[in-house]
Amino acid sequence: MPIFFIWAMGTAWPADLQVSASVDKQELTLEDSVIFSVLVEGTQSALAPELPTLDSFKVKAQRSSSSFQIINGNRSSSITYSFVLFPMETGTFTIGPATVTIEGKQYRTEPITLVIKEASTTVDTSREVFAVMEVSNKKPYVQEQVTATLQIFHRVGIRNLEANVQFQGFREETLKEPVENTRIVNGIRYSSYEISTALFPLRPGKVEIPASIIEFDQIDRSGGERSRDPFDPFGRGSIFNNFGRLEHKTLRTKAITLDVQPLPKKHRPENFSNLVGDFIISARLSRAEVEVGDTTTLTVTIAGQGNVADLALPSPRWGDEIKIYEDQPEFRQMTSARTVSGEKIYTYALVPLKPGGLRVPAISLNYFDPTKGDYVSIQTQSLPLTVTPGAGGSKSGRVDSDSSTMDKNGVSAQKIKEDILPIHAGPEVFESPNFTTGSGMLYAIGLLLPAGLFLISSRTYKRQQRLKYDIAFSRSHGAYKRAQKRLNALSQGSDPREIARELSLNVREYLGNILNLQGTAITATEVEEKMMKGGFGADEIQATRELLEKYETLQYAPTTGNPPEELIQGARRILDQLEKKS
Amino acid sequence: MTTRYLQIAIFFFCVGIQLAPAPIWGQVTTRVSQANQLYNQNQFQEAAEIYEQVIAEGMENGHLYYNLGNAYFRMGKLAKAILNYVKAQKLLPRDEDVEANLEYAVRQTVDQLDGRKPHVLDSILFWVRDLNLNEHRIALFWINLAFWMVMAIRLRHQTPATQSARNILLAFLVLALVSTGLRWHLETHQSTGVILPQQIDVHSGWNATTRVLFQLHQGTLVSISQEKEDWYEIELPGEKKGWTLKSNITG
Repeated sequence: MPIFFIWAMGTAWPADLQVSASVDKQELTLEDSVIFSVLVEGTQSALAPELPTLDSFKVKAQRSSSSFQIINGNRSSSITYSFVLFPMETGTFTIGPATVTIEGKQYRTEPITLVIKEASTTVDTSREVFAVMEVSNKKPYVQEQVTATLQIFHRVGIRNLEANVQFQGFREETLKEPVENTRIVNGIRYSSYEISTALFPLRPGKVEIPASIIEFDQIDRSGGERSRDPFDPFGRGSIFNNFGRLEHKTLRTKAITLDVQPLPKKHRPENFSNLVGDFIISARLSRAEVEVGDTTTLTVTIAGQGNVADLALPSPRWGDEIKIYEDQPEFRQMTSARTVSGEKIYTYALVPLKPGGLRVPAISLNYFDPTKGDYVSIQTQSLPLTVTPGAGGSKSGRVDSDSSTMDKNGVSAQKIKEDILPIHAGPEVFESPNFTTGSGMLYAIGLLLPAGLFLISSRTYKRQQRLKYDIAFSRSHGAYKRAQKRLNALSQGSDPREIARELSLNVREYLGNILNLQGTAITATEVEEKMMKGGFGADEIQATRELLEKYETLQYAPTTGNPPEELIQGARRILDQLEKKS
Repeated sequence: MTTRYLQIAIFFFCVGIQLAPAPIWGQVTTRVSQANQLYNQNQFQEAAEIYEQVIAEGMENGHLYYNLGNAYFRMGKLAKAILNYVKAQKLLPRDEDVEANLEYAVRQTVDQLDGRKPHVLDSILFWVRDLNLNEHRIALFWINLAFWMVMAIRLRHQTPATQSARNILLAFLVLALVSTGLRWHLETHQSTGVILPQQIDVHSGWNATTRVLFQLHQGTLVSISQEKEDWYEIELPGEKKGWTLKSNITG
């Protein structure tokens, strides 16, 4: 196919920068696609173009390609951004300007006109690759299975096949992995790939399966690679076939409209099961003879083609002769090339309460058969159950007391009620407010408080114990207070020599307490030695020694020049100083 | 001294209990009795309105949710009935009536599915769902208090008996902490929803154009695992999961 370009030059750009847009064709059908390319010449660092609004197209970006050439010493570079446009409707459309930003400056391409025509109504077998979407039934009922098959025919090698198929308005089940066949179409042999999907229409009315878009790489005939797996996602063939040229292509199928029929109201059973398809039902008992209060398991199987997964079998109600405990149903689904089938298995633990010959009643099921266009009712056989009195008498009390039990086959079961239980009307349930722990903050405080109080108590108790048993600690604890008290008790009007003696005694006693020394008859020199061992600094030691020497001198001096308050203040200062350091 | 601090602790606890917000029970009881009478006279809608009002005023009572569930069930509003039974079950986890009615209501739905997902720790901490969050908190409080009291007693009496008591209470305290934490997590992070419309489509993604995986019907209980924009991701037993609009689910 010849490719022609419409070059559109922008305005007001530097001499070495050119931005243009092109398409590979201007007329196409709804089955085709068009490649819209934006070429930026003069640079390779342009950002991806901003496309115009394309409401009538689906857009898929492709790889960008860049080139750099030196011809006769002239350098040229360019980058091309390509987009595949899939038309969604017929008509004449103008693709507006694409905008490219280079170094903060915007460049726009010229608009391009495209003409989109209806797709051909017949399969064009002149093409080497084409795709067809078919459905098994265009007028299905709601929930009736419809098989949609996408077939891709090809007589050239294709690879990296990617099909974008959308089924809105349906529940879908993939039937099988894509299979390869050989088909003859209009006398031409094609290889075909089929992808089948089971669809279940969700609502009545017109529902469209939109056109599917298939992308693939076509191998050039000269490359000769017909046997490659087209679903190979890794393109392994390219490693072995460097001579074959790959050309990326797209296909579109026709959209298909289904007219989904509602299920008829005529003959519709009151307890309709919502099943649509073709089903069978069967039942069996694990044991046909049991003792009263013993358990046998009833297994009911519903199998067939259709939406069996949606089945909800009503709970059986068989009076007072048999208690029923129902298990969660099991579901198994099987898919073939064309249909979805499955089976749902309900298990009931039956506990007979009276001896005698009982019959497990038939379980009925109705469904809509689309082939007949009518509702069908099926049922299991009524099963005989012989109940013997049992050696230990009735065991039903054991079962009554437990709403959840296990039968001998390990089936867990739950009690089935006939109706809801009455409201709670007793005033006590509303009058007595639930015990509340109040707000979160209050609760957190209440939770942390015992731990905090314990820590405080623990510390206090340990301190008390230390005061009791640690003599050194006990002596030093309160030494300062005692010394201060004695200072306060000194009468300033007394004889200064007597005051000096008292002060000397007080300071020595204080030092004896904090250094744990025996007696108070220590000299100033001894004080210095002990204080050094006690870790006091040179200043404190010096000051203490001088003070004590001064007091000693004053005690034996005929007169003292120092007033009593000054002597007391000196003692206070040294006590404060020592207390800070101790 | 130690005993005095513990006495203070107990005092604070009692004060805390007294300070806890308490509804005006007299008025509430009268209105609930009135609603119960209306229910018994088959005036279910009027009864439901009163139950809803009382709940809206802040009364958290499992029996009230249960009665409201019954009223909605009788009105044929299966989804709302199931939702209120689930709320009642959170507050009254051991109440057999609530369990029976919830089970019965679920069986009346088309799908008959209880999609509430068990937590991975449920089988180990099997008692967690048997107590409501408030009961867990109360148990934790008393065990905590007992533990610290024993610790205080051990300050003066370090005997083998007090040591055993301490070890046992410590084990209980750890269990109570984990249980309360798990229950809190279940109530705050594990969301349950009920399908409101007659039938909904469950999609593979949070977009209406994604494929429909399956359909669910009114009243089906589902677990909500995450949300994005206007969509919830819901889970059902058997690893089934998908997305549906938030407006389809009440919870």
